[in-house]
Amino acid sequence: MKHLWNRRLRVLQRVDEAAAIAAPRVELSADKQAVVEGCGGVLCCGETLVRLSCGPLVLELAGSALCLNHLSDSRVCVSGSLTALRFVSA
Amino acid sequence: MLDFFLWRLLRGYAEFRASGGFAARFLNLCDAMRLHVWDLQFEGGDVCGRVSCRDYRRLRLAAGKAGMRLRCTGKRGLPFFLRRSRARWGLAVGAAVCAGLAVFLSGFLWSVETGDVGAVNEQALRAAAAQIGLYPGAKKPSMNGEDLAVALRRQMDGALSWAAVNVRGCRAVLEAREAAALQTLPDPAFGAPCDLVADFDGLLLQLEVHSGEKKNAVGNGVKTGDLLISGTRLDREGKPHYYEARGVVTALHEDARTMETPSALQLERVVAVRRVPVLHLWHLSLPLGVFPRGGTCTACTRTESAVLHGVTLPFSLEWRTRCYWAACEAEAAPLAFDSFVLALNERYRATRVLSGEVSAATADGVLTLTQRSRVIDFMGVKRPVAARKGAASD
Repeated sequence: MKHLWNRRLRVLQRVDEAAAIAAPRVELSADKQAVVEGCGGVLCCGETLVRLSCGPLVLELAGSALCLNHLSDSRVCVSGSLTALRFVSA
Repeated sequence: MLDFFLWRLLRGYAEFRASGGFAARFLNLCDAMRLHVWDLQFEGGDVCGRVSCRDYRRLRLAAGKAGMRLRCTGKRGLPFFLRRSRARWGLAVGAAVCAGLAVFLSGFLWSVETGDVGAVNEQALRAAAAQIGLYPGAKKPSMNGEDLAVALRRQMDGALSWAAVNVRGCRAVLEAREAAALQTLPDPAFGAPCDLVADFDGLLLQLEVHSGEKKNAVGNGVKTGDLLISGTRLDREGKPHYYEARGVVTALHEDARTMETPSALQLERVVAVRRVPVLHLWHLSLPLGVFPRGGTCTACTRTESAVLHGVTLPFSLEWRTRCYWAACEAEAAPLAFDSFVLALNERYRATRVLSGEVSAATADGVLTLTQRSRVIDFMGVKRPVAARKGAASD
């Protein structure tokens, strides 16, 4: 019984860790810069809206004069005048 | 951040504009192909950004896959600058000569400054430093700071208790402390023979004799000139011996002070302040403005010299300021009262004031301030014994 319980607990822990790795992490510097980690790719980009794929979620960054300062493995740095940050279910 | 910027400048980068096609796919391809792109901006459907020289070819491939047309809008950085400047060999020679000069001149002392030197004569210190090879234009000393400090102290011939020579870049900073002078103790001999006499009228409250003979008693009223402590003492044979009379005497007395001043004061007040900058270039002075004529004024100047690494450059900006005054009349009472109170405070610094009052009266344009107070004050003034002897013989 105890053995079964431990196995279930381990499975649950693995699920949590996987979710934590896939979850996006957003760091804001006032309304001037946002650094997004755990980003899967760029879905849409423009002067006023940048949509990023973050696993099951889509992160929308709205603002004006948006600029992608950095783009590399799962990390995107967006600068400009940010007005809204929204998660949308894909 | 600055490191990144410098590194990119050294490596060289291209500015591009990608138009048409799918911008998002283009960016994802860049990410997938691990292309180093940055500062991506979106202008009406076009993507503008920067990419390192090495990645530009592969960027064209990514743009082709995303259906975008790629154009190079600029080339920045050292490799492009060098390629452009290939024909201008004088520039490179100039840079090399400049670098060589900088390296050569950095082996010399450009200035010798004095830091915290206390009461040491700066001129003498500089002269001594020059003797051990620390002067502007000299080669940088091979000795370390400690040896230089010892040499400096030896050169000053024991006038310094401590010295330090700090060579910072092309500057030498001298710091020193003078040797402590031998303290001379006061002469233990007694002073000239004298009596202690009253210097004002009052009632004696304390009479403490340190040297001499008591000639009055506590509770006595004394007048100016009355003997308090005598400096003459007779021995058994009646022969006089003269000493310096010393003691502490306090007395209660009525003190009165008056001050007279004109009731109206003629003052001057500032009506205008003008500043004119003067540019000094070597021996040439260029005033960059003019002062208005007329009126009484006082002038002052302030010079801002350009200093580079402690070396004063031969151009400076001098600010000439003139304050223009005009006569005006003001009531004297507040000012006079303030100065009177200040004078009283100074007078009664070591005095115990029991009671007092200040009155003011104006007559014929003269303000008279009068202060009457009841105070306990130190009494006694020294009168040479010779004067008393002379008076007695008269």
